[in-house]
Amino acid sequence: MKLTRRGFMKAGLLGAAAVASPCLISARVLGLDGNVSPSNTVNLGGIGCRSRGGEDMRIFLDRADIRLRAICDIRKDQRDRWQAETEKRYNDKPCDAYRDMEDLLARDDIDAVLIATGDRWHTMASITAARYGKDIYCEKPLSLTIAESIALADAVSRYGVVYQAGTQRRNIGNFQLAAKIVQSGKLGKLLEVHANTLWPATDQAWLPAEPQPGIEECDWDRWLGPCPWRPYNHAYVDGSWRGHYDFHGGGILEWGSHTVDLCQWAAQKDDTTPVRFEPQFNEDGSINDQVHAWYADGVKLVMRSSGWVGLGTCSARYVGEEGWIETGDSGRMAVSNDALRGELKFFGILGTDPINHIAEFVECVKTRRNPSANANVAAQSHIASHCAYIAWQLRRPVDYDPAKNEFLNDPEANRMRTRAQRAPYTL
Amino acid sequence: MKNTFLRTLCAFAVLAAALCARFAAAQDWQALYNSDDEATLIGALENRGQTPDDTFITNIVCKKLARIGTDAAIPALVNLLPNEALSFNARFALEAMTTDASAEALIKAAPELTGAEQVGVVNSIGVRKLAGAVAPLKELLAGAETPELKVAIYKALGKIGGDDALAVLQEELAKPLAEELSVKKGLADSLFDLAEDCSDQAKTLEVYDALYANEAMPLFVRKAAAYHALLLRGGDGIDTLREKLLSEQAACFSVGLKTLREFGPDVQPAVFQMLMDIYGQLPADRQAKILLTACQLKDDNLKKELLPHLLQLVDSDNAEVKTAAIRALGNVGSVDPAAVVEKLRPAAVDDAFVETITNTLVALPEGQADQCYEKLAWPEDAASLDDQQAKALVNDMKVVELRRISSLCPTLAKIASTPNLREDVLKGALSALSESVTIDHMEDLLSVAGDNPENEDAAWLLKAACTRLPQSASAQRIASRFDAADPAAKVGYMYLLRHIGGPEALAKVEEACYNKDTADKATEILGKWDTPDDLTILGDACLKLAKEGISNKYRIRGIRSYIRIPRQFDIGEDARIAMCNTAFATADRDEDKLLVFDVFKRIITGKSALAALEFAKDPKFKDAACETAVAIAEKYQGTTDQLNEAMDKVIELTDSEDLKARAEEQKKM
Repeated sequence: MKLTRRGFMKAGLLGAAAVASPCLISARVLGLDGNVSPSNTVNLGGIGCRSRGGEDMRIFLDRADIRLRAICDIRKDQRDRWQAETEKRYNDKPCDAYRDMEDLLARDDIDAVLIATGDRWHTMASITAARYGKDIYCEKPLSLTIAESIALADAVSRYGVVYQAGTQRRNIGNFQLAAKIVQSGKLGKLLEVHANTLWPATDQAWLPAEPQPGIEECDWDRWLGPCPWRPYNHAYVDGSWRGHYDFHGGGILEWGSHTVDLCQWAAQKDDTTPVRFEPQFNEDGSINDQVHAWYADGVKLVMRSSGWVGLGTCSARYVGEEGWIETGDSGRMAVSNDALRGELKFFGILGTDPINHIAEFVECVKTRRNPSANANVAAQSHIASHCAYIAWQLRRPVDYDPAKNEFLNDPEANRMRTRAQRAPYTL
Repeated sequence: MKNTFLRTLCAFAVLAAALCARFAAAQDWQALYNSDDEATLIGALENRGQTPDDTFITNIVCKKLARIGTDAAIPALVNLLPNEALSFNARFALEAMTTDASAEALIKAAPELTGAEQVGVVNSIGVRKLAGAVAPLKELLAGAETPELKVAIYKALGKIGGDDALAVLQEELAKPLAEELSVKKGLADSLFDLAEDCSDQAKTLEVYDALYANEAMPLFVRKAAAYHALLLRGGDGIDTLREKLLSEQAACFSVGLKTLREFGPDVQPAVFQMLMDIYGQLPADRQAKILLTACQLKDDNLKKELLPHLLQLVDSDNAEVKTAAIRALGNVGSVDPAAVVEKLRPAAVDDAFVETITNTLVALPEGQADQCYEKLAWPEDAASLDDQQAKALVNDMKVVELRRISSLCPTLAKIASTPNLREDVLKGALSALSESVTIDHMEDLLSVAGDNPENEDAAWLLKAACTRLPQSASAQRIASRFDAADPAAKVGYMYLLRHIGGPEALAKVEEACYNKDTADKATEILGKWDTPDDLTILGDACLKLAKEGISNKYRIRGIRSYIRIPRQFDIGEDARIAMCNTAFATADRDEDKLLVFDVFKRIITGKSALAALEFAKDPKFKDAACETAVAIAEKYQGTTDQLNEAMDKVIELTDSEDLKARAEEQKKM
């Protein structure tokens, strides 16, 4: 099976510009000063905004240039929650609420959507939104397979919509500075980039069946969406879907969607992926948490869950011939020598904070600029994470051709690039 | 009566046997998933029952066949396609296969199915891009009665691609379109698919133009078609682009703006001239958006041409245009940074624009812009400035801070030490000093902010400076002030030492652990130490504290700080296990010993599981050790000799039926 890329890497000028420069946008320009003309207001729809999506939504709602017009959720309690919230915030009638996202997306008065449904729906919801011409801020990871990553980037390119993956570290000072230091050549020739990932395994087992609630209270079939059917269990809906293969891409992707992305960015490899992936083994032959990968130019990408300095979650380390730099969600940075230390800066903002990332997205919606975590760059870093997990599942090295998006001489690995979707869903 | 009893007994026996078989099947799913024997997998499909467990097993088997299945599995899979509950699982396997026989099976099945099962198979045909399916799909389309099936066929044809598929969909587009939005969208999306794959540019443009011209298509489809047509026409499409940008319709302008940003460098000069021509005809909000596209301009000649216009627009009365011009200067100004500094510095006194201006001045390239600031006439007496002068000074210092012009460090130090300064000037000077100070001038910063490092503002400034100053030298400067400091300042210094890190800083904090006045904070900070190259001495310091701390509270902190090291840092599997063993032997309290098991759980290896089980010899820790070993195996999701050995030990040691069952389960992986 051939996975074509179509307009996948149609390089917008600004894509490159945004990647190279830090977010230096005035709060006033971004609409944070409360003085926004109606024509400058972005009408927002929310799709699946519980948990992390709830945090994102609150940041959107705090902006004077955002108006939440409608919410979509398969759970009644979540629909009620956001209706109550908008009623209170706007001192007006509540936003509209839907169970089916197509009803929300079909509305002409909605400019952009926040998608935070859970990983199984991210690609399908984003592609559906793009096909309605909506701009998209979607939580990570953007896909569960290589095929989904490509299809998403193609759809975004096709409809000319703005897409920002929820990989907010692209707009966090310490991560920006670390990438800038690498790109400036201050580490010397780049040798290795290290991405903080989690234990890769996922589980195939089903949780015990429970009585299925009414469709209005919780629409289980729609929750499953394109995924294989399985019986209802409330734990999935409450967030314990993580770790289940059908709904989750594994521990490499879980954090790699952030940290592999950081590595690709720092190494200026936003338009490609490594070409070889090797899972690592302990002395006794058991597999361990690490996958090592190599780009075509020999730069090594190390995906590992342990061995970090302790600078917070989602750390990244860049190693050059003349030194290394590591940073993480605490905002702190560690370097190998005092010369590099002179480049550092104290930011004091956590890597989990999406406020600047959301600000960049809103600015791009207004100016049609391509954001820093656009679909093309996010797709590539996701593909790299998927390849790593495929190698880990196969317990052997795999070679990948980033131009053709296929594994070399490896039918089994190639079959794992995609997963069938339940009808009527298809990419 | 007796016969009835016997019949009942027999019925129960049969039922029990069936349930046992089902249970066994469910329990053996791991074996099936791990099996590479296709015949076994096919057998499981053919012998399935109708229970939920069988649905699960079918799901598992089909996932495995998706990876390794051959043509031998096709008959069993095809048999499942009409089954509402299992059809999807069969497709999961068939869709992943690449053989002609699996392609033929899908194409043959499509017209024989109905409803969601038929839609699913058509979707799979599309994903497989089966060129031989165009004619059968065309036939199916003629009789398609539901929107779902129509959309599925459109999408499949779009994915398959080629002239024949294109002809079918062009025919559809030429007909009156169905009312359903989903059908229109599906048709449009499939035509986009075909256009993107088409190597004939004329044909591609024909598709885009037809989609744009079709007024029955939704606006977002027509916008996308117009956007791609413009991009494809490149320089030949500039007149159309001009029309879009001047159009009264917002959607047209939006398409034009998006296209403008996507044009390659070869078209940029012509586009640039067109924009210069029409700029004056645009309303202010559009002018601003057009100006912002200059943020991505790369051609220096075009930048030079644009620069004087942007400098002039900085004086615009329209705030949106003015802001956009200032932002564009951050990029365009690279061709003459001095001119930009000269223009923007005075404009920064307007509070409404100061942030945008500062950002632009900071974005200018190194060299000329820095020299402009070095040559400024910095005030001799910063305390005597009037309000406007003081604001201008604060703005200048902010730029120096963000650009880190370290050559101005003495100037900033002099300003900061001026008596009777306005608060904003003092804060600005200190902030700039903290970002530009060198180790030689660190005393200048310490003399102003160093006496009360516990103060939040002072701590921020000192952290900012110490973040980038040489580690050893800055640690020594702070340590030298420590002994004479008051208790509150000592706490501030210790936090700062942790921030600096390194052996000198660690030694000072360790020393403070044994002084009753500082021990409480020092032991707490030791437990959070996170400089990577100090792990050996950190481990020694924590272990010493665990044994020799001046109170039990601090000894407990010592052992917990020690346990944190193998828990958090990667020092190699053997070293981590060795530290776990040392911690277990050193800890006095059971609750601290139990923390060691959490560390083992983070080392996902058989060796770690066996090491944890060593502590099962103590009855107090038998359950924790066994649970730890099982948890490691469960996380591993596979099996190794050592993990098997560990699971055997658990089964032998534990009294817990649950743990025994979990260990048995892991042995099957």
